[in-house]
Amino acid sequence: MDIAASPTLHPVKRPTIRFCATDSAMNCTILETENLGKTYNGARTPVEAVRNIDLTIRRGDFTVVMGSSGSGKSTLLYLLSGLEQLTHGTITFEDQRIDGLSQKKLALLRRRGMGFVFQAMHLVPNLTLLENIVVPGSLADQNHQRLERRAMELLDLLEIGRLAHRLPSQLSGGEQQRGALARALINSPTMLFADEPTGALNSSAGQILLDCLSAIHQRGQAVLMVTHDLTAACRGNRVLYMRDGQIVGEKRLDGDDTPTRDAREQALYGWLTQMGW
Amino acid sequence: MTRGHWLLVRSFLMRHKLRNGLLGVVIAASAMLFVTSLGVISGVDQPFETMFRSQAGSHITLMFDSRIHDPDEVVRWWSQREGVEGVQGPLSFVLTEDTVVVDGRDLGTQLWLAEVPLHGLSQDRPLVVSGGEQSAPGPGEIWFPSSLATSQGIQVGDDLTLPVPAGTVTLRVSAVVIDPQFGSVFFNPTRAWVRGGSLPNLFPASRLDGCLVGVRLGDSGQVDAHWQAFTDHLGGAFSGSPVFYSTVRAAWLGTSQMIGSLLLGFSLLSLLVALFIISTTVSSSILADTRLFGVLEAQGFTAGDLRRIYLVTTLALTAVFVPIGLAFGRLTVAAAMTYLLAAMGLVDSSAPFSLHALVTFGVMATAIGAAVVFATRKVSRIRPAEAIRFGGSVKTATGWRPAMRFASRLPVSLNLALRMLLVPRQRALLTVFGMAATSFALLFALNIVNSFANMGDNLGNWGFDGAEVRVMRSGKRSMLTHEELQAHLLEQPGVRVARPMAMLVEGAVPARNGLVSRSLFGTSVEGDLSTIGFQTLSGRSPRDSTEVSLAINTARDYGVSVGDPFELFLLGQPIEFRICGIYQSFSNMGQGFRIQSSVLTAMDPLFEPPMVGLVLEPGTDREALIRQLEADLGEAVDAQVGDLFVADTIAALTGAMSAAFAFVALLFLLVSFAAVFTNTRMDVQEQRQVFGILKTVGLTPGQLRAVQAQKAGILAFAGVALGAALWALLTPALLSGLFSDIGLASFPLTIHLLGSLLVVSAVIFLCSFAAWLSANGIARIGVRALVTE
Repeated sequence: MDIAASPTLHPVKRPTIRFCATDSAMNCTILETENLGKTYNGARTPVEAVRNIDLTIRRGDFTVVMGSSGSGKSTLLYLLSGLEQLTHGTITFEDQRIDGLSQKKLALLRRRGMGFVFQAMHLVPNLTLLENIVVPGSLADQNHQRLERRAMELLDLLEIGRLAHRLPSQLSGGEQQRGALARALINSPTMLFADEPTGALNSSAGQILLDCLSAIHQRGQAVLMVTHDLTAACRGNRVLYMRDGQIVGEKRLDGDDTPTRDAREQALYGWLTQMGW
Repeated sequence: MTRGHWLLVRSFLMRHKLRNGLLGVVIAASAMLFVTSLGVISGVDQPFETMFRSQAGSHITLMFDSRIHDPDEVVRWWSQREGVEGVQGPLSFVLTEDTVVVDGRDLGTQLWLAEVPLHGLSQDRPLVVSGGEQSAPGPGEIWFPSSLATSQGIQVGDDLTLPVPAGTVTLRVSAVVIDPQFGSVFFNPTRAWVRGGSLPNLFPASRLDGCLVGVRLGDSGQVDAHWQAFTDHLGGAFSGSPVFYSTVRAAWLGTSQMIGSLLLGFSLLSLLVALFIISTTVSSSILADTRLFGVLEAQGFTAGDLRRIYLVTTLALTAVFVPIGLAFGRLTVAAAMTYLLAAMGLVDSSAPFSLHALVTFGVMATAIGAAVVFATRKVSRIRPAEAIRFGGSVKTATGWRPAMRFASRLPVSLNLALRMLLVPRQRALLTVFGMAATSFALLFALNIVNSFANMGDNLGNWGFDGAEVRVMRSGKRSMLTHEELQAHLLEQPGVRVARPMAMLVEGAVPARNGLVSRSLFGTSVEGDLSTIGFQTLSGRSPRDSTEVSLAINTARDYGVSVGDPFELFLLGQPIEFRICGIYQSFSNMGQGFRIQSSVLTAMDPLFEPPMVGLVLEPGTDREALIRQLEADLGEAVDAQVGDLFVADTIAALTGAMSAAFAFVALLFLLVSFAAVFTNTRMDVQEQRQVFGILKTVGLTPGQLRAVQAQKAGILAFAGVALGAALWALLTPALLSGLFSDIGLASFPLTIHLLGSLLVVSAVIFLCSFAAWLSANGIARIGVRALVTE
């Protein structure tokens, strides 16, 4: 799949990035945290799922968060997206503090600013693929025709346009997940969050999905992906390793020493081994 | 609401078609019951008003002795009064001496006879409903009242044998008519019409002193004011029997309004159950869709959006199913009205159904909307991340775990049913509450109807005497004296008590306590009233000529109680009594009095009680006694069973109530079935992992279905027990509140024990069956249910 070169692709219109005063667009900071932490009050003792996270994500980043089970990576993703309430620290998204916003304001923010892909797709079972995409799209665009046209463009982009009028139960896992990806992109979000997007897919379907994510990133979409899959992690240009709720290491994969996918995979594997993965 | 919102509404509606369909049935049933109750309450009102207006009914009917009040003077006074639309009369008016016979069958009731002039009547016009178009009865003919015709099965062409002083005379029923004044089944005796000029041929002049004047007012609300002015003009009480518009109206509408009020009560109960079902279903749906809600919030939907979607979804169901309920309600209202109006002899119900339908729709939409808003408040508490990652937290089994020493003796399905009894707690409570409401309604309905149907076994508690046989003296046709009759009756084997009585003793209460003077019909008894079955609510029955017992509503109206003085006009003379007791009485709407016959004898030495009531020894054959008396005494007496009138009068009322309550019972059972069916479906869906595990370890689908059926049965049992307890506690107060206006302060409830047991058993069985039926989805649960989660 070569989405970047597709002649049918219509560029996504983005609003002017006003908050970036001096940096170039691709280096513009879109999300920043300071001393971010989340503590769950367990039955006996409190559990610090995330602690002391200082993080900056730029528009050109495909950030991958890795770590062993229980390291806090999914918690971090939900905190950054406002779906989980933090215990302490700050989060700034598009130059706006979001840690003190109400649930309603966060929901309104997510309409245009964030897109989500989950491990389990979570498509509404008795709506068609097209309708599943239109549902969140209608929150930002009341023009039915324009909305449907954009939805079809996305589906065509992801090579599932012919499946637009099918129900999720009539699709394979990979097709459903690509549909979920189209749903996440319908409102041209600033940030795409993906939580184990290939977790429920077989290897070939997973590769197709990762190809889609890579292509979308190449078009300028910022992506934050949580995964424990090394192959998936190599698609990112920046990998964060978490242990015990903290980011203990960072590796960039867009240097000159990792020109190929295999090279990136080897480099990443070596680094993760050092991290204790 | 964006297109996305509407897509989700459609998704929610289509996703659980069966559950939504059952919810719709519940909504439709409640709407049907509600609109039916409104229709019954108001449905007779308009036909009555139309009938009364079209037949120019009199708002005040004066029945008096022309020797006491000058009829022409009475007519003149009323005619000159401002606010009076018309005055009719004076008309001759006679009460038959004995009961009438139709085609050889004794009706057990006397009749007032009035004349229809050849040119017809200007007021109180009888409306011919069968018998062709005539302006008056012909020679040898009689117009018969529709109320009595319906209950006795009398038709045009039947021969009526009237007792007259000279013997009997046969008149042919040439028409069945609606009498605007006395046409209700609660008026006894009622009125029949003969040709103008016939009465002097049938009765001697001494019997023709009865006079009837009808007054029609421009404003029916001014009856009391006009009457007060009239009695002031007379300088005291009116020595006669006035019948006021309010009494006529209450007699016509009392039955339907009582039934309608009961139906309204049931419909509100049904609505409450429906709201509880809806609320519980919505809560369960939210629980099941928690993960979806988290995903939707991630996409930008707010909690308010999600609540709005649920509200619109439920209101969509309301918009579809309430009209369906209203459509069926239109049929039930029509059927109920046809039945009630026919029983009352009225025709052509024109109840404003569209208004009732609008009110019903508004009430239901508002109530359902409020229930949904309440039930969806928990949506605001959903934490998106938790919802996406972990879904809704389905509570694990928190039922009762039987002790091991018992558990091993119980079937495994019963063990599991007990263990899962309160899973989830809210739906379990719904089942208990729903079955409590259903069993309450069924027990209430069954035992009210049973009480009315068995009134004959319990007459004293209803305010009637308990005479098993009544012996009426045909005085003028024989030389049999009162003492001779009494002696003869007491000599009969099987006769335990013989009490001379006079029913329909005419009295009048002078104006007092802000109330205008009014007539009262009472009963006089010679001897101990209690031996003939008369009972009191407080105090006792009169023992001497200084005492009177009053019917409950008479006492309430005048604000008197036991020990108070009370003045009554009897035979035109004022007599001061002391109230010795208060009794309840179903007849005459709880109005009346009881005195000793010595009171009347003191005023009129020639007075002799016209009737003797007999109480028999247990096992005495009533019919055989009656035949013996007629053989011994011939035409000197007329003997009949004691509760003849009651049975006939109450039959129509019992029939109407039975039909209404059967309808209510069916609806409640339908709603209960739908509730349990829906609950079980949701249970199976939420617990599919548990059922999957149980199947894996060896339980059969049949055993698992039995778990659901037994769980429902246990909850239904708890609900039935609660409903029965509430019924036992609340029914006396409810019934007193409902029936006190018609004279029953303490409703004499007769419990049908077997029927009650059958009813509650049926509720439990229906619940278990509904659960069994609904749990067929268990068979489709497989190991995959464990894996995909």
